[in-house]
Formats: sequence, structure tokens, C-alpha cells
Amino acid sequence: MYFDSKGDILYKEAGVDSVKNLCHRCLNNDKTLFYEFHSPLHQKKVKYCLNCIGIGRSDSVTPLIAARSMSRREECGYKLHFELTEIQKAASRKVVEAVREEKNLLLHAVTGAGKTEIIFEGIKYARENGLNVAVVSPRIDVVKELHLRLSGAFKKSRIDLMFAGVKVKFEHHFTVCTVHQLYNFTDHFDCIIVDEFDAFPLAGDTHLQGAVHKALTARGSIIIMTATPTRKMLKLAGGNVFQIARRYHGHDLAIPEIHYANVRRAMEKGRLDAKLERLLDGIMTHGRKVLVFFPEIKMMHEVHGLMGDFDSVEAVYSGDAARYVKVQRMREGDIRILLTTTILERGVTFRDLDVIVVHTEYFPADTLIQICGRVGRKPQDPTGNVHFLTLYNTHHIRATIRKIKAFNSGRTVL
Amino acid sequence: MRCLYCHRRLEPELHLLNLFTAPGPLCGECEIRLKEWRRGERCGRCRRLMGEGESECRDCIFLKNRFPPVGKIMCMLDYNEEVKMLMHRYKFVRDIALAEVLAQFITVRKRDYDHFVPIPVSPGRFRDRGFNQIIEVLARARLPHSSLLETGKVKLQSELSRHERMNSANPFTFNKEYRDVRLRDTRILIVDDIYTTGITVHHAAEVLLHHEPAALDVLTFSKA
Repeated sequence: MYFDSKGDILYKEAGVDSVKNLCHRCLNNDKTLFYEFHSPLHQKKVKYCLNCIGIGRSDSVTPLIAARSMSRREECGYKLHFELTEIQKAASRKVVEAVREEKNLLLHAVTGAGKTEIIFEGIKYARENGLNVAVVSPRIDVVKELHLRLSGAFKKSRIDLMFAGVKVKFEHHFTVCTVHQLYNFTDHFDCIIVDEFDAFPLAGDTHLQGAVHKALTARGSIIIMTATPTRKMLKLAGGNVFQIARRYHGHDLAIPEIHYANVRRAMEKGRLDAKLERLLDGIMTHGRKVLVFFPEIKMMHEVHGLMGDFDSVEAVYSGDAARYVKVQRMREGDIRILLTTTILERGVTFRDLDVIVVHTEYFPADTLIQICGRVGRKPQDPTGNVHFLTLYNTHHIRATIRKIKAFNSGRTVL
Repeated sequence: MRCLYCHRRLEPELHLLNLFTAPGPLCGECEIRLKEWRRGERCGRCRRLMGEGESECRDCIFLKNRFPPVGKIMCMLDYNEEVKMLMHRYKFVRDIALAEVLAQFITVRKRDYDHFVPIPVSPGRFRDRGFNQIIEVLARARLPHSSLLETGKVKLQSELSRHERMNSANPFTFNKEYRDVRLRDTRILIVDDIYTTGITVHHAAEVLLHHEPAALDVLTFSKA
């Protein structure tokens, strides 16, 4: 079943039970996540749920209407422009097996392993057997990218796309959406594939994790894809883990180099840190591009102001309207130094890229692993350099280097 | 307590200055993000981001030629991506809690004006949305409002093209219920949510200026 105002099931008289403090749509029962106001239209008090406001208001005066879940088989073919590697094929078989045997699966793959291509066969199997499939991610950027790649491969299928503000809906048999959109579904999808399960906000949000389970049918399977799994994910997968320690082009991941520097102190004195400047100079003379990660937006802007000696520098952050334009200009080589916060930690691929992390001591290990995974993603440029500028060594920096070395020696560690 | 914008728990650090005041509706991070102004040259009057080589704001020139003059134009926030998101959630998703957030940014005091006049919404729009987005903010800022204006228009400003807006007829009429209220030599503040071309507030001002107020200023939540 899924909530749709054009449906024919009256699921509840109202979306929110204002006495019990319960939202029937997202099952939120935290009383601090409701807002009550006097409605001038209804001439009475109305309460609504703040937890799922992002997908439309669920309140105490509007009934919840739902439509029945249907399933339909379809002939489902896809096109790939290259052949999968042996390990990708093995992973692909594992995904099909998980869907067929209704098991959960954790796909623990190094960044740049070609995860998206691995799920194609599983999706094909599911759709040909009339199973409803959802491919979800907590991040809008990743959702857009997934939709682009899936609709490019599955040319004949009608793929629903949903994220805040954008809805392309057919019959919800094959859906690509953000995890939030799953609040709309109950007992509907037979197979939910979650990309970047560890990304914000899914990682720390129990309501949102609950949404995945609510949207899943009783016998359905969850397939988790991540480069940085947690114990919780292992438990969810019930020990059914498949690991890929190699990138699809077979080269090693770059091991980060540590430089001790205090960029903030230099910045406060109105200078660009000498080590940072030297690194940037080196990268520019080699004709490469660089992503510079900052722990906070304010610091990024201040350092940006000190970089007058460099051409083609830009900065992006989450609230930046021109974010996608700038990323595109970076791809085309128009921008060569891109300053950023952790919003570009996932889902972006550039050629000839190096990475510098400023004040690395502020970053957690899973973010650092994702950041290191930005370099060397193309077979034409399979390596790349990662520089950590830090005040002091931290446990997270050491853990990052340990895990990357383990990947390189063909092991995966959790 | 939750931040009404990002819904994270508010755990403000207590110190002497905030020990006896109620916590605001926003967390520090969201407040910084909402208050940010985009960089660039701005018009000194309406604070529009001007194009390169534009010496005088073309919107203000147009308005000066077309409408009787109004006093100050004040605006609280820039229309940055965060504010755009906030306005969308407030007006179209009907997340009315955000009225508290907007109210926090109002610095105008009750004694500064005699009448706070919200831009009206049409009855049809009111039924869809369930509230007037300006009255709700004024109420949460503890300011009284006088609904001196009425409108029957249905189409949203944001659905009109720039050309259509520039040439539209005045959609506002004077609310008859206020017929007996003295407006001559009073100070009036027109309040609107988003100032784009300025046509809306100038249409409103045109109606009110017939009553010869002593001052007629404009406050908008955000400058697009």
C-alpha cells in the first residue's frame, strides 16, 4: 500500500493522532517533533508532524488516503557498455541470489568498485518476476546520479523518480528515490537497494531506518551498498556479506600523505599556509585538478579570499545555488581548484584529480575514506594523490590509512 | 526543544546573557545559514543584486516612474538557497512552524508604526493554504495587524512572468470594514513576504496613499 490522495483506501481519518502524539504516516511518536497551532481556516487547534514534513504535511485534520500495492511482471533488459570484471560478476550473482532467496545482503565495496553496475542483474531478475524494486539513497545528489545511470541502462523500463520537490510517478514498480520518500510506502517493495547507507541523515536517524523496514514487504530483501559499513549494517544483513576490495580497474587506492600544518593560524594572520600553497603549486604545475576539503564553510570562504595568486578557484557548499554548475565546470576543466565541505565527499568523479584535506583532525574515518575514494576513479588516471593537512595525528586518520592499506592488500576490515 | 528549521535538538549553552530568556526557535547553524547575504553589488534602496555595470537599479527607476513614492524599503533576509527552501516549506508545504522562525528576524517595534498592513491573500488561496503567511508571522512577533487591503485575485505573483507583473492592473482594494478608521497622518508599514520586482507592495501603497498617511514604509521578509 502507498499513500496517494487519488487512492481508494481511507487508511486513517487523520494523519496525526493529536492525543497520542502519533503520525500514522511515518510512525513518529516523539512529542517534540509535532507542532500545534490555531488554524484560522478550521477555527480550531491543528497538530502536524515535523518529522515527515519534507514529503508534505501530515496533520490532524486531513485524512490519509492510500492506494493498494500492485505487482506486474515486465520484460526487463538493460545495456552495459563494458563487461563486468570477474569479481563484479560474482557480486552480481550474489545480489540475484539475495533477491531470489529473500535474504538481506551487505555489499561492502571499496570506493570506485563499480557498485551501480553490480545491481543491474538483480533488478532485472526482480522485475521479471513481478517484484517491486526501490533503489534509494539518503543523498539527493546520489539519487539523481543513480536515476541517470539506471534510466540510461534500463531503456525500456518506466522508472519513478522522487525526491524533495520532484516527482515522476508511474506505478511504483521500479522507483528511485530518497529514503525520506519511503515514508509513503507500507508493505510495498519486495527489494530495496540502499546506496550509501552510512551517509547523513540515514546513519543516525532511527525513524528513517524504520521507514526502510516499513516500506518492505514481509518477505522482501534489503541490499545495502557501502564502502564504510558499521556493526548495525552487519547485523541487518544477518552475516550475509560480500566484499570487493579492488577497484574495477584493478589499481591500488592512493594512501594519504600526512603533513603537519596549521592552516587556521596562518589564515588568522591573513596568509595562506605555506605548505598548502606549496601543495597547490605542485598540483597546478603538473596540470592536475584538486578538491580541497574544509571542516567548515566559514573557514573555506576565508581561505578562498586568501587565494588571489591562483586562477580558476571556486568554492561550493550545501547552500550554494550554483553548486551543480560549478561541479560541471570542474569536470570540464574550467575550474581547477575547487574548495568544498563534506558535501562532495561522495558521488563525484573527476579526471586527473588530487585531494587535499585541511584540518583533517576534525574529520571522522568514514568521511576520510570516502574523500580518499575521490581520486583515481578513471582507468585513464588510476592513481592520484591524497594529502592530509593536520595539526596532529588522530585515531581516525590512522584508522583511515589502516583500512586503505587493508583494501590494497586484498583484505577488507570492518 | 527542537530547531524548527532542521529539527535537531536545541541544546543551547547557558551563560549570563541567555539565562533568563526563552530559547529561540533556531539552532545557531541554521541561523547563520539563513542570515547569509549573497555577495555582490546591491541597490542602496531595494537591495537588489545588481548586474555588472549597472549604476542605478533598473527596478527602482521603473517603479519611480510608474508609482507614487513610498518611504523606506526594509528587508530582513536575502533570498539565498536556504531562505528559498524555507519559503517553499512555509507557504507551499504549509509548515506553519516556520512563521516563528521568520518572526525572530523582525526588528521593527510595535511603537514604530500605527498600522501594520499585511499583503492580503485571496479567499481561494486562503482555503488552499489555510492561513495568511504574513499575519501568522506578525502574530508570532507580537505585532498587531490591520487588514486594510483585500484582494480577489487568484493567480500567484510567482506564476506570472516579469512582463505580466510589470503591466498588471492593481489587484488590491480598500477593506470596507476599516472605512471609519482614521488613517490620515498615521504611520503605516506594509508587510510582504518576498520582494521581487516591488510591484506588489507598490500596488498596495498606491491604494493606501489615497488616505494620506504621514509615513508609508515597506517591510519584506526576503529580497529576491
